[in-house]
Amino acid sequence: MIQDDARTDDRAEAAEQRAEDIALIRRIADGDQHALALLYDRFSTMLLALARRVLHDDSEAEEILQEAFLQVWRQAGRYDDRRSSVATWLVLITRSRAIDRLRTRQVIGRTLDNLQQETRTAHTSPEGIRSVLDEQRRKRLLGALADLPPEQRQVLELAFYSGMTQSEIAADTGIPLGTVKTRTLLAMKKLRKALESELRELL
Amino acid sequence: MSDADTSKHHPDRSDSGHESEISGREISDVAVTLEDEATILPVVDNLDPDALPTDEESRIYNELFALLPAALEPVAPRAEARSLILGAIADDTAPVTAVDEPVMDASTVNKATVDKATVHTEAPVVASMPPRDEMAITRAETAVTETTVDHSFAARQAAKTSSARSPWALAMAAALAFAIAGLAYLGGQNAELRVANSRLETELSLVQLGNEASSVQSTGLVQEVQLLRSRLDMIANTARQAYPMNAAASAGDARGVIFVCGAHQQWYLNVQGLSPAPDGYEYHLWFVTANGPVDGGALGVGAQSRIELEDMSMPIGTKGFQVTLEDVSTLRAKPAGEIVMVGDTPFSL
Repeated sequence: MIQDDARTDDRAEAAEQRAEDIALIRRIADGDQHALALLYDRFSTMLLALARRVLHDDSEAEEILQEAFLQVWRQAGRYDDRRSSVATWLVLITRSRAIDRLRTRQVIGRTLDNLQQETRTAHTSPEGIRSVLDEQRRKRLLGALADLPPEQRQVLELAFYSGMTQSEIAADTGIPLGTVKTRTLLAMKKLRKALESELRELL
Repeated sequence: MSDADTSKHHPDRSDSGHESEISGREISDVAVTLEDEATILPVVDNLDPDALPTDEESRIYNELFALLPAALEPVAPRAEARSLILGAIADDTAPVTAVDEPVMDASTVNKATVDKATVHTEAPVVASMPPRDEMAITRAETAVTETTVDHSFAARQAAKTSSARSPWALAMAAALAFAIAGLAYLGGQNAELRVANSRLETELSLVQLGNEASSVQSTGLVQEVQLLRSRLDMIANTARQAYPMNAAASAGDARGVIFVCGAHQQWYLNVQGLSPAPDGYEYHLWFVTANGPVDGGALGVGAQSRIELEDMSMPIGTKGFQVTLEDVSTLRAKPAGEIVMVGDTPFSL
């Protein structure tokens, strides 16, 4: 009973947060710089983690983060809350830019990669920077991912973080295309089942 | 659709020989249907923020898939990154889609106005730049800012014909020269760039109006203006990208940038600090494409070790650029010599 009450509180808080996010995007579309700063403070840690996961390069990840927020500033008017949550929109913008960068890098190869290697110290997870809600969501998501068979998790991660299509995953891993599709479908359906409450918070 | 509904199972998914991992337990836990495949796989394969699906089921899987990064350990950006992004938008008070170009009334233009505008151009928007240490935060931006402060090209162009031209012609050439340098210098600062571009468009209008008034236009002048205008458009075009050219150790402190306007396959290369090629060798530019490198031609190192080259076309699908030092006697269709510069990471401006 107490647990149910806690989840109800979480959902209310999530709904409030979602409304605030949408309001921030609308303010940004109206040219409110402070709103962009607030949005940056709320999402930059997750988005930087995403860019780093795709690119495995701290300095490039920060560049992508900057480009993504510049794009948000320029295109906030295009955001449609009927199509996605703000968090999803930001994730997709950042992922799209990071994967574009990754593909460009892969095409040419990094022949001179060591010329300008910069070692930057990332400040990982300073205390207080995450909201309790985000941390709870992260734990539930980690749990759901951990419950997936490794081969199913692998295809999801290749698709999301490497930007590979099902066919590309099949070609890259040597797994039959049908198997790749099945693993993806099973993984997505299992995640949906496991993360029903998270999805309700986002929709 | 209920997970228990097995009436529409995809044939592949019920073929245990095809997918060994789908045990009876898997199928009883989560069933996969043709509808699932039609809904889920397009979402997974096409995560495009500009083309999000509208139907409810697709949106659910879209949100679900985009949850994945929430499982990553959050990483706090450096404080300077925040300053940089907020600095970049500081002067940008309107969305890109609604930029208001300055409107000039020809009836209000007089020589004093033109003079004032021209003088103003000589320090293009540098005053509004963030501190230098902030400018140096990103590698690409550093390369762009350090490689494009080149006032000389347009100045040379202007000098060639200056004796035959009016002060208006000189003013126009100088304004555009400084405009290009100023805009290029601001390569990584897109928001400021657009502000500067608006200002320069105004100044160009003023100078052109002045020119018309004094009736000193000549064919050569018009061509020069068109050339400079074309370069300005490319540098200031919102669809452009800049590829900072990173030098190999053997190229010393050479630096450069290629501006590319993808919509028109137009490019403009500016390299500085490259030593003249040894006898029997020449620098070559290569377009790196999915089908291999394509020769972009020889690069002659000019005065002050500067190279400027531009063209109206480049191979479709160009993903990057290389400059190599090739032996003229053994020059082949593919690069064989030492790679001295590489531009492989585009920076959207």
